[in-house]
Amino acid sequence: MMALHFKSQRGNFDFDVALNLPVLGTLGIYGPSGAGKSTLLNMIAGITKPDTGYLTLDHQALFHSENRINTPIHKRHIGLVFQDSRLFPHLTVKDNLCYGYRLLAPAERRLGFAQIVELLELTPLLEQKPHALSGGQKQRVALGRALLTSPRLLLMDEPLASLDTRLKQQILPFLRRIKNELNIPMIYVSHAIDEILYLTSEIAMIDQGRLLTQGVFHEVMQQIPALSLAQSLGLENVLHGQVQAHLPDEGYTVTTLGGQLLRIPLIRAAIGEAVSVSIAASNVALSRQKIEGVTIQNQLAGMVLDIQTIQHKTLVTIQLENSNAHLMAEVTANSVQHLQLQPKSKLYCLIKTQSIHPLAILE
Amino acid sequence: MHLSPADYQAIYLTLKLASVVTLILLILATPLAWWLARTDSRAKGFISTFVAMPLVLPPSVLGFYFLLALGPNGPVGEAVQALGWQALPFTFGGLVIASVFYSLPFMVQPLQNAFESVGKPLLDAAASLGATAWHTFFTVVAPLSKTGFITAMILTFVHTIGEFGVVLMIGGNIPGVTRVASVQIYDHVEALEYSEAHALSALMLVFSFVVLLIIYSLRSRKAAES
Repeated sequence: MMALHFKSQRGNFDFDVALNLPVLGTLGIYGPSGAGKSTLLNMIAGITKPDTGYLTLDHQALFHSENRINTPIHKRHIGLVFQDSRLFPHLTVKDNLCYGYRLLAPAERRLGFAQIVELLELTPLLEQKPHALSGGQKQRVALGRALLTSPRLLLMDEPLASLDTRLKQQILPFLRRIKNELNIPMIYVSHAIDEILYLTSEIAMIDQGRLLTQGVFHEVMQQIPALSLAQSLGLENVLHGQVQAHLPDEGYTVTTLGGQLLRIPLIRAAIGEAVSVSIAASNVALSRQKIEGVTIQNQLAGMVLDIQTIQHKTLVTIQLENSNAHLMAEVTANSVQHLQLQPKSKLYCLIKTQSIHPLAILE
Repeated sequence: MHLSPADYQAIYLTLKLASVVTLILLILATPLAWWLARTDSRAKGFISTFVAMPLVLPPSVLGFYFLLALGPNGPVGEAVQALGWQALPFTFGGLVIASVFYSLPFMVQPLQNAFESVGKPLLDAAASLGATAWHTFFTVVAPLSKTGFITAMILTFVHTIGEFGVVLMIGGNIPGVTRVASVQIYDHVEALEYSEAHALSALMLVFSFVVLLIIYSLRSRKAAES
């Protein structure tokens, strides 16, 4: 459980965010650069002190301006992973990993060294110094180092922002492993919605120092302020499927999504393995009938849930057939009229294989 | 090159003074430099200025005020006498106290630079891993400031060896007590003993050159590493 309300005024930046999370699982914090996402994280961690407000974690007050409570960073037991990995340059990977672990009483160590090293596949790196590591390896070590303090909450501040797409694809599966295997509450900050949706659909949206909305992604997307923000950042759908077959000659991999087939660019993954892909809302076209004789290979059946118009763009939210997955399509108001779309209309979502991006690939 | 027993005595005294001053400053200046590197306090400008004063003041001015403060009628002198101790001017102890102030910036500034270059991000990272400020200092800041410590200690040592004006004002010229090498050279020149002055001067010249050479090669090696 976490409840907080932080207020702070720094120059022209007015920050006022309240969050109430009865159950703390994995929360994504989404918003543009400069929105105050890192400020929020730093306040939770204890790095930045709010002017006024409070922070309660698991019924323990960590900050309360009126009661003059401000637990120092090192006593909060909150793990942090920064965009720049902040490894100690004079220590080996092993000593970096053990830095916080050694400061814990053995009884407080809920995660073992061997367990984390194995989970993050760090064995070959243990004797290296940070300057010899790639950006992706550094982030894995930083993750391991934070996890080995057995934190009661793990904060991640754009941990993939400095990595290229290929490295991102390599790190994302580790983040999901942490979520699925370690049972540590996480707050994941990013301006990339696909990264967040890969991990969780619970999101909080922040813009200009204010919380716009909080909740399950596709519900939050029904709200105009959230929607307009998401649109300005580039709206992405994330779908989770299973690998069915590889067709290398034709250059694609077939996945199943609740009984429907989705052809994605060829990836290396075992048959039956789970795979996540992102599709920009602007790359989804709509049709009332199945179309024969087109180059678009994916035609997913679904039903309109909601239609929202903002500025001159219209966003249609579709529930896919035989699945609880949602897909958003960005179309023109004109075409909505032309197709006579309304909630509960049945339709097909047309998606080019090449516009689909696999999100996480383990090599 | 011929050095007299008096020369050896002066050299020994000089090295003793420089060692004691370096050690005392290491203990006093480290927390001061750490505070200066981290603080947002308004007193920072004032304290930094105070620390830097010996860089611009003529040593004789510094020595003069020390003489007044430590002398029998000065505030420190009276306190010392009230405790039943010997007055400090013209003693080795007085020389040490004056030298500590005189060499203060040479210890504080390299340390402060080294501490600042560690950066708040790494300190935050250490704190988030459960480290107290003390633990962070000894496990992260100090090891990363190794070159800063070496530079600060060498500069302090060499600068203390090279002082003259302060010594003459507060220490005078007592063989075996306050007559350090620089004063000994002055004595030789006064007595027109140029060859003796040469021997001691050349020794200090070579010593200073070698020491500075070590510092600069250390720095360029560190720059190459990063």
